[in-house]
Amino acid sequence: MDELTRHLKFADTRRGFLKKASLGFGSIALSSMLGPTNAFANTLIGNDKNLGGGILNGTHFPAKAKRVIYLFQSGAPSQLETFDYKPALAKWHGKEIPASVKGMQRNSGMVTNQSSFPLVKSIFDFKQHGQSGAWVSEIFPYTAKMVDDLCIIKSMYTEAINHEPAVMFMQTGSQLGSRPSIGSWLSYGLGSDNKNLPNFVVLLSKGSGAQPLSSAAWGNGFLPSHHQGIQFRSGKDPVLYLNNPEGVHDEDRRRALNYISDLNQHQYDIWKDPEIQSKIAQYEMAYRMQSSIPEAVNTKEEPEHIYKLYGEDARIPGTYAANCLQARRLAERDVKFIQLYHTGWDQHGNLPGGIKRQAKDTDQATAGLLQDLKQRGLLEDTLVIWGGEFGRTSFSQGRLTATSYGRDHHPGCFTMWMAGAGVKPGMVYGETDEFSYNVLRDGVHIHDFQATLLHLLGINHEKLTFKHQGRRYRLTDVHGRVVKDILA
Amino acid sequence: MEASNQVSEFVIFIGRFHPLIVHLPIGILLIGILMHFLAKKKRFQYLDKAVSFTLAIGSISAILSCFLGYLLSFQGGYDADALFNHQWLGIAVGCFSLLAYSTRVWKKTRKSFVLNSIAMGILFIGLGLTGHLGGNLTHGSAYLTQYAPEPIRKIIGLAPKPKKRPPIMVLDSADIFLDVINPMVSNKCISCHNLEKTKGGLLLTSHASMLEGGENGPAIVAEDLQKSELFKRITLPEHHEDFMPPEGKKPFSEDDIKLIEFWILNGARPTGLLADIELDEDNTKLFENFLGLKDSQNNPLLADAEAGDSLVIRSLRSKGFKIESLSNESNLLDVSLSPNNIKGLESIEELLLLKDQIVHLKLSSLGLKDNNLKVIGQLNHLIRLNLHSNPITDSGISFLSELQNLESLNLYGTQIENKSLELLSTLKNLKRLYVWNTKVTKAKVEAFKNSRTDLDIIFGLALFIVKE
Repeated sequence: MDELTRHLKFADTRRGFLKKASLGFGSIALSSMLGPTNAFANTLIGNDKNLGGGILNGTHFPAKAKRVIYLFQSGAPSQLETFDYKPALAKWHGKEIPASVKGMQRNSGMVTNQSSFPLVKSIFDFKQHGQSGAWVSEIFPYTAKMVDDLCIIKSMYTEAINHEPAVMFMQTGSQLGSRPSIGSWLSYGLGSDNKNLPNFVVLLSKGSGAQPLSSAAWGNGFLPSHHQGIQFRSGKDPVLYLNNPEGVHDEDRRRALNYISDLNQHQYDIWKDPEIQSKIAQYEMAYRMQSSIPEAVNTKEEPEHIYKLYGEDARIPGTYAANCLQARRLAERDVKFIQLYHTGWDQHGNLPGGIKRQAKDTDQATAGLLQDLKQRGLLEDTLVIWGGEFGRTSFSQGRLTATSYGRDHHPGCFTMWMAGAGVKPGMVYGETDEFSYNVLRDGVHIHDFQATLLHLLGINHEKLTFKHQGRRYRLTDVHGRVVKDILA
Repeated sequence: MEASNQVSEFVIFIGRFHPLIVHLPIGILLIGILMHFLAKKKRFQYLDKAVSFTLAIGSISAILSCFLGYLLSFQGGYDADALFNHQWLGIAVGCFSLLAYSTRVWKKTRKSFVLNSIAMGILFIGLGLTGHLGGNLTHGSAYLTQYAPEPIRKIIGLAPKPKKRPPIMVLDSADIFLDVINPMVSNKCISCHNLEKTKGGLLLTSHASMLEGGENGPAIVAEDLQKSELFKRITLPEHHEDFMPPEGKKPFSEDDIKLIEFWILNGARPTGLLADIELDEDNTKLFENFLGLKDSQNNPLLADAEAGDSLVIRSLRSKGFKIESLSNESNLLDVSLSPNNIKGLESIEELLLLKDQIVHLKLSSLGLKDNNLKVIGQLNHLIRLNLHSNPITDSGISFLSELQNLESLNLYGTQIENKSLELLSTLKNLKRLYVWNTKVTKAKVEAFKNSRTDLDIIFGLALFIVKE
C-alpha cells in the first residue's frame, strides 16, 4: 500500500510539475508578450473563479443560447407520420420499394426474414401551417401551431441502427456508451449558472411498450463524476437520499458534512485522486439542494392557466407534460442542460395506433412549453431540441393491412427540430428523396448536430477537449461541421 | 484548457526570443568583418587583436539564434519555401562564422589569411541575405518596398504604385469592385497569388486576371457561384484540403463571403458605383459595415469596449451580481442578479461604472421600483434588458427612453399599462417587447403592431384547444 501511495504521489508531482512548469509559466509569459491589455483583461474577467467554474473560463464566442432543453423522443418517432410529408408514396403504396432507392443501406435484423418490402404511405393527413408553410401531420395539432418558431431539420442521419447504440451516439458522440453525455460536456466546459442546482438535470417519462433507457446516456464518461446528469424523480423525493434522515437536525448535518469534507480533503492530499474532489463537490451540492430543490420542483404554485397550456396531464407527476412544466421551472432557474426522455416511439407493428397515442401524450405539452418559454422571454436564450435517435423505414415491417402497418429502424434519414436561441425560426432545412429513404440535400450527421449545438452555446466544438488514456477526446470525436445555414 | 497543438507553448515562448537575439550575430559579425579588413591599414592595426574575440562571440550568438529560430518554426503559419531558405541560410551563416573564426586562430600563414578573407566575404553576403529573408518571413516580401519612391520601384522592377482610392464617406460613392471586392481579395489572397509568387498559376491582382483564373479554371465566373473556383474554395469546410486561404491564415468572414456572393451574382463587374446597384436592407448593412460607414457608437456589439474596471466587477460580484463577459475575446458584459437578492439591489448605482461594457442586464423578480429605473435608463449600451416580475409602472418606463440600442425588453409580470407602449415607441432599434401578464390590453397591442411592423410584441397565451 505504501509503495503504491508513493508511486502515485511521484507520478502526480512529476507530471503536475512538468505541466505547470511548461504550460503554466509559458502561457503567462506568452500572453503578456502578445499584448498586455489582453492579458490584463483575461486575468480580470476570464480567469476569475467567480464565473461558473467551467474549464473554458467563458465561451469562445458570444453564446446565443445559455441553456438547452432537449426533448428526447426515445424509440425513434417515424419521420413519415410526423414532419416528412411524402405525397408521392400514395401512388407507390403497397408496391415493392425499388432497388435503386433501397440501395446498399443496411436494414435491421428484424426484417431479414421478410420476403417483400412494400412501401407504405402515412395513414395520417398532412397540412401546411403558419407563415413558413411547413407540413405537419394531423397527429401534432398543437406543435403545428408553433411551426413559425421551429427550425425543422429533415435531413438528419446517423450510423447506428439499434436503440442503445443510437441513443448513445446521439447523446455522447460514440455508439459505445463510455463517453460523456452532451450535458456533461457543457457542465465541464461552461460550469454552472446557479450554484444551488445541478448543471445537468434528467427527467424521464414513460410511453407505452417502451424500450428501456440506460443511465449511461446521461453519464459523465471519463469526465469528473460531478458532471453527470442528476435524475429528478416524480413524487415526494425528486432526488433520492437528499433529505436528512429523520431526527437529524440541520446543524448536525452541516457539522457532519464539514468533518467528512476534512477527511476527504486529507485523503485527497495523500492520493491526489480528482474523484475525491468530485465527491466533496457532490456533498456540498447535495446540501445546497436540500433547500433549492423543494422550491424548484414545487409546481403547486403554478396558476390554472398554465395547466391549461401544458394540458391536464401536467398535474400528474412523472408524465411528459409534468416534466415539460418542470423543465421550464428549471430553465427559469438557469439550469444549463435539461434533458427530458419520453420513451415508447418504437412502432415496429401497429404504428398508426401507437404513434397516435404517443403524440397525444406529448404534443400539447411540447407546444405548451414552447409558448410558455416564449411569453416569458426565455426562448430568446434557451435552445429547445426535439427528436429521436434514428428514423423509420418507408416500407412496412410485418403485414400491411388497410388500417395497420409497422416501420423498422432506419438510420438513413430522420427529422428533428430546434427552436429558440440562435436558430432560424420558421425554417425547414434539408430534403429527403420522395420515399424519405435517402437524404437528398443538406444532410446533417449526428456530429454536425452536436457541433452546431455547441456552437450555439458559444463553444468551438474542436476546442472543448479532455485528455484521457493518452489522447484528447471531444464530443464530436474527429468529425462535426457547424450547420451555419440554420443559425439566425 | 488543454493545449491543442502538439508542441508545448513553452517551446514557442522560448522561440519567440529569436527576433531579439538574432540581431546580436548580425551586429557582432559585421563589426568583426569590418575590423578584419580595416586592420590591414596601419591606422587601424590595433583592431587586429580584437577580431578573434568578436568572431567567437558572433559565432556563439549565431548558433544560439539558429536554435531559437528552429524552436520558433514550430509555431507554424510560415510559408514553407521561404522558411526552408531562411533556415538553411541561417545554419550556413552559423557554420561560416565558425569557419571564419577557426581559420583565423589556426595559423597566421598567408594561405589561411586568404581562406579567412573568403570566409568573411561569404559570411558578409550570407548575413545580409538571411536577414532579408527573415524580415520577409515576418513582415511579408512587399514590406521593404511598399513605400519605395517610383524611381527605385522602377529599378527593382516593380509595377508603379497603384493609385490610392479616396476614402469612402457615403455608400453611394463606393465602387463595388475597387472599394469592396478588390481590397478584400488583396488583403487575403494576394500574398500567394501575385506576380512573383503565383500559386496554382492563379493571379488575383486585377479583375481580368481573376476572370482568367489558374490551373483549376477561372476564379470568378459572373453570375455563377458553382463555377467560380474562388467562391467554391472560400466556402468549403475549414479543414478541407482545398480550403482557401490555407491553414494559418485568417479565413474570409461570413459577411465577406456574402459580399463576394452578391458581387458575383450581380455580374462580377470590374467597376460600378453602389448608387447604380439595387441593394436590399441586409446588403446595405453589409456594405456599410465593410466600409466602416456605420457609426460604431450606435452598435456596441460591433465595437468592443475597453475592459471594465476589475475592482468594480469584483465588488459587484461580492454583492451577488453575476457578471460574465460575452466571450473570451470580448469585454462586453452580461450582468444579472439572482431573484430575491434584494440586498444586491442597493448597489445598483455601481453598475454605472460599467456603463460602456454592460450590454445584457437581467434584474427580474427583485421588487424593483420605478426610481431604480433611473439608473438603468443611463446604461445606454444595453441591447437586452430583462425586468420581468417587478412592481414597475409606466412612470418608471419613461426613464428608459434613452436606451437607443435596446433590441429586446422583457417586462412581463410588471404593472405597466398601455401608456408604456407609447413611451417605448421612441426606441428605434427595439425588436422584441414582452408584455405578457401586464395591464397592457390586447386591443392596444394589435393597434400598436400596425404602427411598428418591425417590432414583435409578445403578448402571450394564444391558448388553443384542439377538439377530438
